[in-house]
Amino acid sequence: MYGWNGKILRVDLTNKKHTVQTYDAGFATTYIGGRGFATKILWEELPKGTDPLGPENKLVIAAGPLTGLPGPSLGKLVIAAKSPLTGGYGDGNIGTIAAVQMRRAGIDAVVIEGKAEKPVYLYVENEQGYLLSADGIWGETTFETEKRLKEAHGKDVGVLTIGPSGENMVKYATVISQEGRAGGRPGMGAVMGSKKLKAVVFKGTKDIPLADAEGYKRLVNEAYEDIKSRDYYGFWIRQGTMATIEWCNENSVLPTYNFREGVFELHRLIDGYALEAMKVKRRGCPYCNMMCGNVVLDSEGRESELDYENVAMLGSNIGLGHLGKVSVLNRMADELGIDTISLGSCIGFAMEATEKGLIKDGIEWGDYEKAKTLTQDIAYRRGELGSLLAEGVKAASQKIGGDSHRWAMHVKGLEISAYDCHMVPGMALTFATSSIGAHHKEAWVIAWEIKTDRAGYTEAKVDKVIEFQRIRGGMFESLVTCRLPWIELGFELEWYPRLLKAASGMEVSLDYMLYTLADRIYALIRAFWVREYAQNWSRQMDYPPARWFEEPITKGPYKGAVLDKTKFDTLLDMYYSKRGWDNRGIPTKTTLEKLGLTEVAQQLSQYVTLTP
Amino acid sequence: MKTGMAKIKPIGYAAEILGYREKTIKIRKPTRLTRLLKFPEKVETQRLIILINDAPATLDSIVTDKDEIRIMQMLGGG
Ligand code: SF4
Repeated sequence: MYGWNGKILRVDLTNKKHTVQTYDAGFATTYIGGRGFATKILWEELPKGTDPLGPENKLVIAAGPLTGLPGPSLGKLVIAAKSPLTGGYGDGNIGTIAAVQMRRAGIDAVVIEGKAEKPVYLYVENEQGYLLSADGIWGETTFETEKRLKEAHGKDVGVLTIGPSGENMVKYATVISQEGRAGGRPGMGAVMGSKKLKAVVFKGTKDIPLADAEGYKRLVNEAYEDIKSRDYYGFWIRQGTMATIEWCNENSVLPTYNFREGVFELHRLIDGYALEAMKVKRRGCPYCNMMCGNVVLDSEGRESELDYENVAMLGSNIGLGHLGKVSVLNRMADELGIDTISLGSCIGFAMEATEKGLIKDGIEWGDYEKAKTLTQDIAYRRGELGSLLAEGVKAASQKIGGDSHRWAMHVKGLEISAYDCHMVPGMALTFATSSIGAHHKEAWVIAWEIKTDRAGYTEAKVDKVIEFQRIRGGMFESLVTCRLPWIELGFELEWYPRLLKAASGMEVSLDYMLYTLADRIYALIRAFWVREYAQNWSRQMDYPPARWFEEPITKGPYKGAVLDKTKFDTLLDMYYSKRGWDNRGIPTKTTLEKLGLTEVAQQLSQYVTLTP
Repeated sequence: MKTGMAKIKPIGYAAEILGYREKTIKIRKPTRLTRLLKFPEKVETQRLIILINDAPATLDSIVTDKDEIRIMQMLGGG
């Protein structure tokens, strides 16, 4: 087999064992890699009711057939497990040299189960796994841990690590690499912490087998040139995703004051131009020629890598209009290993709860000093408020009561990423139906909505959401390639099957990846959720929070806008119908069978009645 | 003939390529937007969003006095 290594490293932390599992071309082309591999493995190997923080949960670190090869933005991997935050399927992608080193180590994925007796880290070199003591690094920040591991194993190794928040099983702890690359929003860092696994270090010296090395090289050179020739390239290099702050504010979708509003009076102080004034360098994922990690010196003089999501959530969403201070909070989150989106949502939630008198001695809007303390408290689960918020906004709202569930901004337990949806119904649908809970990575339709019919609840919007989910959530997450060349610069999708053909020698068509692979993955992930929630599953799980339906925005050009619940339900019905799911949002037996998931249908029917 | 002013507000990248953030232009008679905007040749105009009074428009749309035109990049949203 070319392209794929055909090997998965299996590690059992309890029994201190590892084995190398091989797989064939059939498995490779059916599931491609990344999210495709992870969904298949987690569905088959995690029994219903698996404790996400118990030894039986499995952490899957999976690359794709292009990962680790030179080529535009191909240096990514997926980290997946059952999520402790949502109780459903969870994953995240991360761009890191660890992805390259893992593939050069001769493996395409690592599956880790069990729990170590004492803190350890996993060192992987050329198919071999070694469990080494994490004494001396357990308790350290992600930055310090990576530094020490590089001192121990060489500066070229790839490191995935958790910080104190992962160790303390904060429900939205992430995995960090290279001081700012983060992945695994739904608590993948907490899963590592529960296993007493501080880090995974990869070192590889093997060549990834290529079907047509010369052809691949030619193609890659053309692809890089194509990206550089795009007219938006220069501006992208200057501002990256941070251009989105101004754009979102102009379009009333910038999350502000816990998603109450879509415009922020201090947006100019945290936008892409403010970034340009502070920027000291750029960094990013391996092999990327449009690196988007914009690094600034924060208000404490330390480097902090910014992008739109973390600035919006730790800026406008908490009423903080000072980029240097936002950068401190962002850097602290990266050091501690906390997801910046969920952190910003939790702090915003606490600020609103304080304002409404539901929390005593809480935190006021824009209170930077207290936000810093609270970030630490969350990471270490210190104090009443820190412990409360370490569970995420859904659990926090259940605990503090009142009407807080109406403005706890999550779907399925995952905090909503940085787009206010009072006036973009299509985007509300993407958050509602994202396969890990509210996340933008699988579909982002706001620009398309604004360009066509912003206020409409139309079939075309449903089609667009599904089209984007197929491309972004299905194909990109399985190839594990970055979506930004395509979405931001217009790099055509046709490049990917061509690259795959040159690398693997196999004809895997775009149509296959979009209509078979992606639909299979979406059905399988949905089956995972339904199996877990069984009789408690309902279409309510696919609703965005009440705030967007009930509380109009009060500022900006769309003052007075809210989502229409009845019309949203119509969108959801259309979505289900187009996916071949019933009106509860459960794939029908026919759909599962059509996607080659007959056994999944059989198993699922033990827990819910399937619609034929 | 009555003369009015149309306002053009490009944002972000669109402001960079047009060279201004806000401009008012005299409109003597209904005019195609393409006549009011000069983009460098390299710009992929199909990747721009154009709104006239918040309604979706194109470079071929007709602009009259008092219209507000907003232009922005078709962002992908991270
Ligand atoms: S565009 Fe950004 S996220 Fe994508 S590969 Fe490059 S650096 Fe990584």
